[in-house]
Amino acid sequence: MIPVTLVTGFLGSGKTTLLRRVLASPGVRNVALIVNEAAELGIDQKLLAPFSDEMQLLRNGCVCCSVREDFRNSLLALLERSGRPPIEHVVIETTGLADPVPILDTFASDPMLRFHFRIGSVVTVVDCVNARAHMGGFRESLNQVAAADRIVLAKTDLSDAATAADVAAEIARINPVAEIFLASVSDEALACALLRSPADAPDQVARFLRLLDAGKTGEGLRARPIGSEPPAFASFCIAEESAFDWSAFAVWLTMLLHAHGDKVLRVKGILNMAGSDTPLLVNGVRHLIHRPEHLERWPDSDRRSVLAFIVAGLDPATIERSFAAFVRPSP
Amino acid sequence: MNRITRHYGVAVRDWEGTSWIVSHATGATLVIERLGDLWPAVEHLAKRRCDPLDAGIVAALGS
Repeated sequence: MIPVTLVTGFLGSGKTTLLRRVLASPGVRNVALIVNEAAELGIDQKLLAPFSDEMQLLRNGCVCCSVREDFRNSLLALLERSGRPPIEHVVIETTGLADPVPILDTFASDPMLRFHFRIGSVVTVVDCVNARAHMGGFRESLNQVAAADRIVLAKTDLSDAATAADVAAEIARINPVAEIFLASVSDEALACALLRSPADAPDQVARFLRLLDAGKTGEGLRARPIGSEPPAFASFCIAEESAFDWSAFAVWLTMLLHAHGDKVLRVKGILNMAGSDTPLLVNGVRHLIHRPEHLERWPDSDRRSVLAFIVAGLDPATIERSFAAFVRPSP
Repeated sequence: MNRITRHYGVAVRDWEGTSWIVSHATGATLVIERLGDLWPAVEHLAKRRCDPLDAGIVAALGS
């Protein structure tokens, strides 16, 4: 299956600049780019076309709401490249106001797309200079940050180091499971951030355990308002010492997302499943759960499960009590 | 699975490893092929909302 990277970011955040750097970096080849522009005139297409092996423009509408059939057809057309090397990776640049979830949903619900493509990662570009205004004033921006596996902090050259550190810390409070990259890193590092699957991150398990060691569990259990409008966002982790049953967990999570999927902006975790020797990575955005992936190994004897949530208008303590009742093994 | 669904008067059983049969105490039955379809089916048969954050079912399972 061909991995797909979804690149989101608020209006003017620096998505196109990021893509130009990544696509021009050595070793990046056979990458197809699908650019969605809300306007009729495709400016980004003109900027990006020289750097891409294959490029398709979806204009005059946003792929998350109005041009989904065109989107599907563009993807399927990539499979028919007679006489040229096959596409190895697809990158989709969304409009600045796009909600990533309907786009991910297109992949999950369409049998043809599901057969040929898999979502690699969601990368969100955040404009360091305007981050607070965007995340504080626009729900679209917060949704994009919450959905991210990786965040690229752009325009750090227009800001000072203290501001960049503050913005990175604020992003980490909203989405503690995202890896954060500064756009000032090398083009090769950015390419890696964009094209690598979340399951391929070598320190995946350690990163989740660090969330616990940093005291996120206790801190996160107090819902914290982020942004100017209700409902309050909260990020928190549930930790579990003992291995637990996959069926019980799957039944609980599907029930939670069925009842409250619009309020569970993000769930991501590494799980110690009874009967399995390797950690299982679960990753979901609102009502969508990606196919769980087994990671290679536990790095050491610490085999705690960590499940991180970003929720809007739900009480973290209530979710943890529910997890305990449905999933936690009896002592 | 039935530990949970029985609170809604619903039983679930595997059908040849490819799907599940979801049955209500009244005899009404639905067949589902994905776990994601379980809760819409249970709600349809039980005619009530299934919410894992509901204090009643949390208390019932925890006791």
